[in-house]
Amino acid sequence: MAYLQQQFNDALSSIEPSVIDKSNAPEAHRKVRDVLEADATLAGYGISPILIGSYARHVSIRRMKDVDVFVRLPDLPTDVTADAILSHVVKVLRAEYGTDRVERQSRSVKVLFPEYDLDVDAVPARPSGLTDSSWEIPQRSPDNVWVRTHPEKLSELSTEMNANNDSLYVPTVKLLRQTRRTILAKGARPSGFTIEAAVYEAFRSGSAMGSTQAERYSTALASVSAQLTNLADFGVGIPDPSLPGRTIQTNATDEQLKAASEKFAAAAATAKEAFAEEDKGKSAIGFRKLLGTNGDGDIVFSMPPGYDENGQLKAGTITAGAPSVPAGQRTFG
Amino acid sequence: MTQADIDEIVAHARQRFEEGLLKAGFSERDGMWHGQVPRGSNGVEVRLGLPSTFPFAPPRVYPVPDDAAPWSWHRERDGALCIVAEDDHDDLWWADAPTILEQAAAWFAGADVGWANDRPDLDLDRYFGAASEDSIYIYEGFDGLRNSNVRFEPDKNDTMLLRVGQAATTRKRKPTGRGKPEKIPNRTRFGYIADVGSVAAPPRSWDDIVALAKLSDDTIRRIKGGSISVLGLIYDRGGHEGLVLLEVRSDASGTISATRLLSASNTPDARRARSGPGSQHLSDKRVAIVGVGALGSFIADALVRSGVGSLTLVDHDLLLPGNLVRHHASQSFVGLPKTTAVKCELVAAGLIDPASVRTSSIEVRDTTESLKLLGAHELVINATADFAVTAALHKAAEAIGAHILSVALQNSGETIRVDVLPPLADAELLPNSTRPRDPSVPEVFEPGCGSPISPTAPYAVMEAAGIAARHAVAMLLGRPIHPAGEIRHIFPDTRGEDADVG
Repeated sequence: MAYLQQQFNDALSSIEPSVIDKSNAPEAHRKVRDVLEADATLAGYGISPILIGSYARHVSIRRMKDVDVFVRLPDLPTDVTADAILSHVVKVLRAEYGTDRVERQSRSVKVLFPEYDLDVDAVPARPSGLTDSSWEIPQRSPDNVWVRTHPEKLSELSTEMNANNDSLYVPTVKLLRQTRRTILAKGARPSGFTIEAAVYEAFRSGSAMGSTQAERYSTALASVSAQLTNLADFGVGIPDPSLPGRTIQTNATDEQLKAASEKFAAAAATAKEAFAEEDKGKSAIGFRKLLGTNGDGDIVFSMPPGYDENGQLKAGTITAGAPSVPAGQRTFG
Repeated sequence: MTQADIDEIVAHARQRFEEGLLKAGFSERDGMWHGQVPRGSNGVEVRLGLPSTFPFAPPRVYPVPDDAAPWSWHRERDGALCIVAEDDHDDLWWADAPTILEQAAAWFAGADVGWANDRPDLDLDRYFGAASEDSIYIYEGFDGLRNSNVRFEPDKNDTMLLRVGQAATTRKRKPTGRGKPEKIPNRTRFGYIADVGSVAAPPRSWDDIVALAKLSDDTIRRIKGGSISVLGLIYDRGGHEGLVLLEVRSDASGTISATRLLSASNTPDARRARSGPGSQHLSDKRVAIVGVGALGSFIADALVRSGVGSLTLVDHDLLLPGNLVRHHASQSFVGLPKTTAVKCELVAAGLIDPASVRTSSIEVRDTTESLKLLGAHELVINATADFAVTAALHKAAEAIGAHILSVALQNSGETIRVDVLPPLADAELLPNSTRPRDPSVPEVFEPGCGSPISPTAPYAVMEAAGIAARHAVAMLLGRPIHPAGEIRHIFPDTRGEDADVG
C-alpha cells in the first residue's frame, strides 16, 4: 500500500484556486449581483442572488473559470416564461457590460470578466412551489421549460458529507475534478459537476472508503468509473444529491459519455494499482499520471522524498539496519 | 552532498515511517499520530510523535490517556514509554514503524507482568527536570550518608564537594581553637540525604517525594525556610544503589519544587567500572617500566588507568623541551628526571597515589640490578628500545624462569613490536621485523644527542603503548594474548611485503 499522505496534501495545495482567483471571484459576483439588484423589474420579483456552484461548495480547482450566481426571484409571476426571464436578465446585464461581454446560455446568462480572466454565470430561478424549498431554472426552449434544482441544498449536503467523512469528501471531489481535467480533452463532457455528483454518490453508498486520502481517491475513482459506465452503456443516471429520486442531467453526447467512461475506467485501474503498490516511487508515478498539471502548468503530484522523477529510489536513504555505521554494534568512544 | 540532499534523505525516512503508521491504521491529528497497538487480546490507544531529529532520534510513544498505563521506571518524565534505552541506538532500529509498534506492544506486555527481569538502570535523575545551575556535585560514596545532614562546599571548576560533619546542621560560625570563627564558604549549601530503599516507580510530584523519603515535618520546614536546599535520595533498584541529588526550593506560596542537580561519584568503584575487564585484579600488581621515554611514559599511563596498583619507573634521562611532543609529560616538568615527570603527571591526574609510584635510575644492564627488579615485580616492561638492555633483561629473566615484555617502535615508527622474552611455553621467538631504511627520509640530529632523532610520530607511540598495555594486562591476569608477543606494521611497506605477526 502507498498512502503518500504528504504528496496528496501537496497535490491539493497545487490545485487549490489561487489567492487572486479567490479574491476575483467574489468581486465579479458582487458586481453582477449589484447590477441585477439595481433593476426595478427584478427588484419587483424580490431578487435575492446567492453564490452557488463549485466555488460556493469549496470544490473548485485552479484555475477557476467561472462563478455561478443563483438569481433567486421568489416573487416571479408564473406567467413570466423561461425565455422571457432569460431575455430580461440578458438585457439588464448588456445594458451594463455591453453586448460582447454578455452571452445567453441554455440555462443562464454568462458575463465575461476579461480583467479577471473569469466568467460569471447568472442563473435566474423561481420557487418550485414544492415543500422542499427547491427552485426551477429556465431551460432555453420554445416551450417554456423549467428545470428543477436545489443548489442551496447541494451546498448543505456537501458540507455535511465532508464533516461525516473526516474532511475527506471535499478534497476527493477536487482531486476527481482534477483527474477529469487531466484525462479528458479540453471542453469535453461530462462536466465537473457530473463528476462531483458521482463522487457524492460514491461517498453516500460507501463505495468511497478508507481513512486516507489515497484510499478515498482510488475507491471514489473506481465508483465514478462504474457510474459513468452505467450511464454510457445502460443509461443509468447519476443521482442528483439534492433532489431525491432525480438524476443529474448531463448534456454530454453518447460518444462523449462512452469516451469518458473508457478514460475513467483506465484511470480507476491505474489508481487501484498505484494504491496497492508497495514501491512508493512507482505508486507516485501512477498518481502523477492521473493528476497531471494544474492551471498554472505545474505538476500536481510530487515525487516522495528520496525518489527521482522516474520513481527510482535514490542512493543514500536511511533505513533501519542500513550500514551507515559500518562498524556495527557495541562500539565505544 | 548538499543540505537539500540531506534534507531529502531525512524526509524520505520520515515519510517511510509515516507510511508504516498509516498501514497500521494510524491517523495524524494535531501533529501526533494516533492509533492502537496490541495489548493482550485487545488493543490500547497510543499517540506517537516524531521528533524533528528523526530518524537520528527515536519516535516517542505515549499511552492515551496518560494514565492508561502504569507509571514506572519504564516511562519518561513526560509520560512517554521507555521503548528505546539510552544505549540502544544500534542500527537506528526505530526507523521502521512496524518495529516501533511491536516494541510498544512489548512494553505493554512487560508492564502487565510487572517488568520481570528488569535491567537495574540507576537513572532516577532523568525523572526530574534539570536545575538551573551548572555545578557538578561530587560525592565519595554514600554508605555513611543515609538519613543524614550534609553540606556541599564549592571547589575549583564549579564543583561542589559533599562534606559531612557539624557544619552541616547550621550556618553559624563556630569558634576555632584560637578564638577565630571557622570560615564557611559563601556558596556552601546544606542538604539532607534520605535512604528511600527500593523504588517501585519514580516520584512524579513533591508529595511523592515526601512520601518516598518519609521526610519529617522538621526537614520540610527547613526546606521551606531555605536552610536545606539540596535533597539526596539513596535508592535501590534490583540490588544496586544509586543517589540522586535534587535542588529543593520553596516559592512564596510554600510550594516546593525539586529539580535534579548534576552529580557524580568519586569512588574507586566509579573509576574501576571504567578501567577495563579484570581491572579489579590489577590493584595488587607491581609493574616495573624500564625506559620512561615516549613509549614508556604512555605505557605507564595506560597501565595505571587500567588498574595497576604499583609502578616502578626506571630511567636516568632528564625531560627536555623537545621530548614533550612524544612524552606523556607537561611543560611544567621540563628539567626533571623523566621518571619524576611521569610520576607527577600520573599523580596530578588523580590516577594513583604518590606512594605507589617509585622512581629509579638503576643500571639494568647490571644483572644484579635486573634480577632484583625482576624479583620485586609481577612484570617488567622494557621500553628502552636498546639492544643491550633488552639482551640483559632477557638473559636475567631466562635465568630465573621469568618473562619480560619488551616493547619498541621500529623502522622509523612504521612497525610496533612487542616481545615476550623468553616466549611462554617454549614458543619460538617472533621473526626479525627490520625493514631497510628509507633513504628518502633524511636523518635529523640535535645538539647534545649522540644519535639521530627517530622520526616516529606521536600517534604511533600512543598506538604502540596501547598494544603494549594490552599484552601487559593480559600477562598480569594470566591470560597472555600470544606466547611470543606481536608484530604490527602500521604503515604499508613500500619496499616489499611483510605481514603482521602474533
